[in-house]
Amino acid sequence: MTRIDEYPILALGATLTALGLATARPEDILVLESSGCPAPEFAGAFYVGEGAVAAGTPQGIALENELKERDILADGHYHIPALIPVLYQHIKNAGLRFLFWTDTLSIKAGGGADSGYEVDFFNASGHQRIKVHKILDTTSAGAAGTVSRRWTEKRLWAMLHGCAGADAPASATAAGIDWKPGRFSNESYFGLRLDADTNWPDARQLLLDAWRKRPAALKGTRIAAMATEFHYSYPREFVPVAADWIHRPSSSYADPLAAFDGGITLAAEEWA
Amino acid sequence: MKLSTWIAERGVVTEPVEPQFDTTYDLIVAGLGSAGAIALITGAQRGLTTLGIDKLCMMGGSGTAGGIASYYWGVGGGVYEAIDTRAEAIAEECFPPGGKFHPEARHLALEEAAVGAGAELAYTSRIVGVFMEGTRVRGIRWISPAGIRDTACRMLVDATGDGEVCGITGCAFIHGREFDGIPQPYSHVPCWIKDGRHTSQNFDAASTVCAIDGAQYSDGIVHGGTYHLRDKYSETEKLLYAGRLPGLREGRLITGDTTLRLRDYLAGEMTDRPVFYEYANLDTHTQDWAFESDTVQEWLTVASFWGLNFSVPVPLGAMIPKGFEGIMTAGRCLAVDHDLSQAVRMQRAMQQCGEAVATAAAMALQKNIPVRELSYEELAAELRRTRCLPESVPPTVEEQLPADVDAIRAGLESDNPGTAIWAARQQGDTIRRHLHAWLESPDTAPARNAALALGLLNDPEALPVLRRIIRQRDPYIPESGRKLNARRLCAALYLAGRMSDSAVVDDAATLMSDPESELDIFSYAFSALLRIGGNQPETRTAIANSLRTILEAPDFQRSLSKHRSRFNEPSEAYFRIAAARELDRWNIPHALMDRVDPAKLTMREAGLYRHIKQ
Ligand SMILES: Cc1cc2nc3c(=O)[nH]c(=O)nc-3n(C[C@H](O)[C@H](O)[C@H](O)COP(=O)(O)OP(=O)(O)OC[C@H]3O[C@@H](n4cnc5c(N)ncnc54)[C@H](O)[C@@H]3O)c2cc1C
Repeated sequence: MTRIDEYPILALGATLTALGLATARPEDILVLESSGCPAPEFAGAFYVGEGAVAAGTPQGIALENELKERDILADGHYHIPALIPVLYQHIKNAGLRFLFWTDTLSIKAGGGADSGYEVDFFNASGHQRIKVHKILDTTSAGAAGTVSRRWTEKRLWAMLHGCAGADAPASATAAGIDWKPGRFSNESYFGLRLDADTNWPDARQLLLDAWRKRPAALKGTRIAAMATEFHYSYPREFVPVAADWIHRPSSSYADPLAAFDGGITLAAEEWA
Repeated sequence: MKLSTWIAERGVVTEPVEPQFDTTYDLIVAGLGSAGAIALITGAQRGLTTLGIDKLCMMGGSGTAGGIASYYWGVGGGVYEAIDTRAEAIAEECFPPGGKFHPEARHLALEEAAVGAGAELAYTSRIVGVFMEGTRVRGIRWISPAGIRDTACRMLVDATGDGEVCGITGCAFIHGREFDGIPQPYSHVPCWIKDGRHTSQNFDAASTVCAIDGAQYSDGIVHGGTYHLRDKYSETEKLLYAGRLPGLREGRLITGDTTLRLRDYLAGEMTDRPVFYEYANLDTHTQDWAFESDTVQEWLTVASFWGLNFSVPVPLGAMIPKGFEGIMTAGRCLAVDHDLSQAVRMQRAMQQCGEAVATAAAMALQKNIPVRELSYEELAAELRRTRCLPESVPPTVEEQLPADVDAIRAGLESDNPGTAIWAARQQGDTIRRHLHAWLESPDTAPARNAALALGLLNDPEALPVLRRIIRQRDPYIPESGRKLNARRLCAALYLAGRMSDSAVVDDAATLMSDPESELDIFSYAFSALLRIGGNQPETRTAIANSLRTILEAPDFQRSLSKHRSRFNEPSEAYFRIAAARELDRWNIPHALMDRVDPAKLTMREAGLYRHIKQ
């Protein structure tokens, strides 16, 4: 059972970067996630990355091998939703401290040098406060309204079911539409670029309209499901928010495995 | 004014405040699931200024994000039907076929209706505090992607399913069943495309999760999510999503102006002022019926009535938290007891619940009167107009029972004896002498079923036949229920235990120690022994010795096998903890807890453990 008290590191968002960090330092890290889903920035956003990158760390290679064995990853293409059970299993087996369905309310400096942060959050147990020494915010939007917008693009993706024609578009078109193949021949992902302030109802209607007007090569497809997270593109950089508190959105990595490796490397190098 | 919040380990805490509200709405609905979505749309359509808040980024709750893409019984009628029609059209155009309704199409249709009616939507948001003046709710503190906000309202509706907002407000509630504090099991439902069709998988059931324990809630999500792991995924079996909602069937159940209880309902106590009806069976997904209440065991075990549908009229008072104003509930956290909550929770009824609540709220706000003072006749007339309140209703239990002695006798002879057993229970003294007479040939079906009926009347004349059923390990399973029928042996164990019959102690202990006894038989024998020992002090030493021999054995093994699933859950600690509690009450020393590692409990075992510690 998860215990709550004082932690060396708090990771915000159950992203692949946070998972990498927690995998490398399971004793030290608590992860808070507002939704019920691991890898929201990839599996929840139906974002398959920019073309798979081979994993570089031993833990990343193990994950990559598992994804290949389960037919979730092949030839650089993902069946992205199936990351979810793999990651639940990983969290459970490794005994990682994750609190899903938990909202971060506020983060306040503890006062004094190196006194860390007091973080208030809310979940089914109610209002709780913990003390942490470092914070890695891996969320795409920045948790608790604390991080200013630095993303360069916002997109809503849908998973498509059905076979695309041979001349299906391979990359972004002028209309802000992007299309990416999935792991299986009847699986692909269809994304629409959105204005910064587009809300969920409008985004969904715009995506539906774009799909209705889809290129002829995608006519044989139907919408399998729409994403429950927007995908935000970020410049690939760590941004300090305050002392010992950085924002590194996991969605800034080109690929799920790269994001996972990024967390492990962070634990091994900068935050060793 | 004061701000009420829910603080871990302390419960409800209030502090005086002077809030600066950013806006005022007539109606704020927290949770936009089956009930909340329809409440929001109804409120907006009736001209209220409305704000809908949900943790997710979509409407529809269990029926959309939760992947529950079908209606289970219920009575048709209400504003949701037009939305379903629209969802069908969207599904037809855009989504793969499959299911009764398409979850994605449905949430699009709900959203279209809400936005069209002028409702404001606040997704990925959650209420964390409630502003009150005395016992009247005035507004909410909530967390949105933009940060914390304070917003005023004239009526707040808690439609979070788990009753989280009522919890924050300080409304009274119950959680779980009396024996162990455990609610119904949850199922973390995934959605797939299988062979080209959209499908969800209600794999029944992961375990039990306490809706007021954030760590267990989270562990439950993780545990349930592992069930969707496959050796290989394929073109013909593609996962779409999992874990958008945790899949809890039961959380807080509030105490209302009127709280509906199964035992009252079965005694014929029903409102004549319904605002909607449920029509379903006692659809429990609990696998250990031996630890349910007497009423549930009478119904499920003795009458074997899993699957007998009945209609339940629900009054407005079941959605008004007792002692509070300016707040109502809609959805499965309404005021029912744990027993009845297993029936009164299905999607059609929950949607109608949302409609009834918002209609009442709108009428009361428009008249500027408390919702409690609303004329029932006026409200009912409005609800009849949309058919939320139907003209004709499927039968109650009473209406399905045989009335005369010959019909009851014929029923007791049949493979479907449930209605006859229940009718005899209801008739009591009127039929008792016939039941006594039918006991004469104890190895015949009518005698055995008559003994069950007499057992329900606590009539000691049933005992010789009940003992015989137990001694002979009667293998009979009736066909009274739709799917899950209870063994006559379990019914006899339950009744003998309830009547504290010390003559069955040896047989019950033998059943427990027999490795061939399946878990239901083991559990009923265990439960009978606890009850007999509880009421007959002279039996305690013998019972405690048996329990200790069986449960303290290092190789003792019992797992909870799921009715319709491929999974087993260890249960050894559950029995050890439950037995330890009883032996402690009897002041009999034991070493049962030496074999329990609190760090290695299943979620169900942890629930019992926590219940006992409290
Ligand atoms: C696994 C399972 C299978 C079922 N199968 C069927 C079936 O086949 N047919 C049938 O008719 N019924 C079925 N039911 C029952 C039925 O689906 C539910 O009882 C019903 O949908 C509950 O409606 P509700 O509005 O109370 O809650 P929900 O529909 O669950 O909605 C609750 C909403 O509140 C939101 N929420 C929760 N907490 C918060 C918070 N703190 N702040 C803001 N928002 C919050 C959630 O995101 C959700 O949108 C099933 C239920 C389960 C769990």
